Amino acid sequence: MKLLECKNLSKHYGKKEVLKNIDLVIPNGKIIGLLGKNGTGKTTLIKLINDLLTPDSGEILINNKKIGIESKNAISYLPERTYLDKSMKVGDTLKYFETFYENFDMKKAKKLIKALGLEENIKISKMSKGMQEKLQLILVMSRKADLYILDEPLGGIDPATRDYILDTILTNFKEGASIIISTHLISDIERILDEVIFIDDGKIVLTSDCDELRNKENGSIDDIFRRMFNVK
Amino acid sequence: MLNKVLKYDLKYVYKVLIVFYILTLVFALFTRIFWSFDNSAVLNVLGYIASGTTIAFIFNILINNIMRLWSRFITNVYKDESYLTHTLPVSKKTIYLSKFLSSIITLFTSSIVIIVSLFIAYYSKENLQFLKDSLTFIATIYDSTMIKMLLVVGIIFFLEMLYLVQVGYLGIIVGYKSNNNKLISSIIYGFVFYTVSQIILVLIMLVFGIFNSDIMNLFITNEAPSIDVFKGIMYFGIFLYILLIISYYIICVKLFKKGVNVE
Repeated sequence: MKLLECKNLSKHYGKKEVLKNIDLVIPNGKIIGLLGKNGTGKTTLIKLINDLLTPDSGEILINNKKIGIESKNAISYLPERTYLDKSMKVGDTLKYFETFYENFDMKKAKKLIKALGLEENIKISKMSKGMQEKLQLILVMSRKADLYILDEPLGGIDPATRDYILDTILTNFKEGASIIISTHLISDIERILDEVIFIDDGKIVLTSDCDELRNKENGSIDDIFRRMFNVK
Repeated sequence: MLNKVLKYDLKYVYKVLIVFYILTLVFALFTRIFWSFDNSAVLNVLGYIASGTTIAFIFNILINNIMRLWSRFITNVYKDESYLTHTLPVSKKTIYLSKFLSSIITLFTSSIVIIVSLFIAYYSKENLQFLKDSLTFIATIYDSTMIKMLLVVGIIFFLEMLYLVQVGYLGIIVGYKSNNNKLISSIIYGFVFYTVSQIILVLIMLVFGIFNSDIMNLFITNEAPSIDVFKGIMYFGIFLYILLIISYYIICVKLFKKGVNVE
């Protein structure tokens, strides 16, 4: 069944065409890497799916329905920036998510807060960027969503903690749900991916099952990506 | 969901506004205390200082209230926080309605605090009597009552504030559709919409003037309007303000529902 479907999606910023007629289908139960160099349209695509941008043309369907209240309940989104109200405490953000999302699991969130070494009574303004990103990850992964969209989840995380974060993602998403991970740190995440989508210059240039691609091209996803886009 | 969104919108605005409310009330109280001592020159001077500060804070409440509402709109709908706002399972209409309601509620409480502060600082039997006499005198000229007149002036003032906030929201919505210089565009659009709607108001009056010579006289002579015309303009003004606020609300919701482009 199609969980997410993008049909003929285009987006301009002024005269610059950032996404060009994107057609994409995401099924249930897959972990998908959305991979591409900086400025190729990954974040724009994610922002369109999350109703943060308005498409110039095309359509986005979540569970066969247009973007709306239901789709927002179905998607749990981690942006690449910190979006929480800095005057709130960690505990306040948990209450905020519990108030708005009926699928938010407070028990799980509190457990993760302890496991990742955070405290509920700390103000967000007193936390480092890395700590804030951890908190956002906890909030996002504590929802029982159908689709998790994680934009650069390892961006501000130190290399030593990356595996721990990836394990947190893997052990906390709802069974049967899909995850889209957008990143340029391919080698760090490739072990958890089922499928990959390569995006370049606003177009999807490759969609493939990870194992099939590795066998066909005889290399890791990271190697294939580097070869394909001439990255050293 | 509306009450949940509204709760957080009000929290943001009141977080700063409450401080100004308290300070205004405190200085109003100081004014009253200092001026209650008749035989001390020092306390009398302090009374004038406290009185001036109270008046300054009253203006501050109004300006801060409006600025805080606009600032909430920008941060919550277009800046970093918008990444959370637009991914909440809440419709765009509800998000805008919450901003509109928070404007009405905060402007109302600010008006109440201003009235209470003025009452604390300057109430005395003599002042009240003087005010009553003056207002009754003016009201009699306009064939009205003091209460009725105060009510009409108060409503017009409140509607003007609400209309100003709405024009600002529309300026922000249109300004943030631009690809560059979003904030500057918002300010420019806000000014343009304010000016255009004021011109439209005058044009509506002019159209009415075609059918009513008393109103036309306002445009073509220097004569002061008759009492009936003046009263008519006041009531018509209230009607037009309400019409403008509703029109702006509908335009804002329609534009907002078409989608946003966050930074």
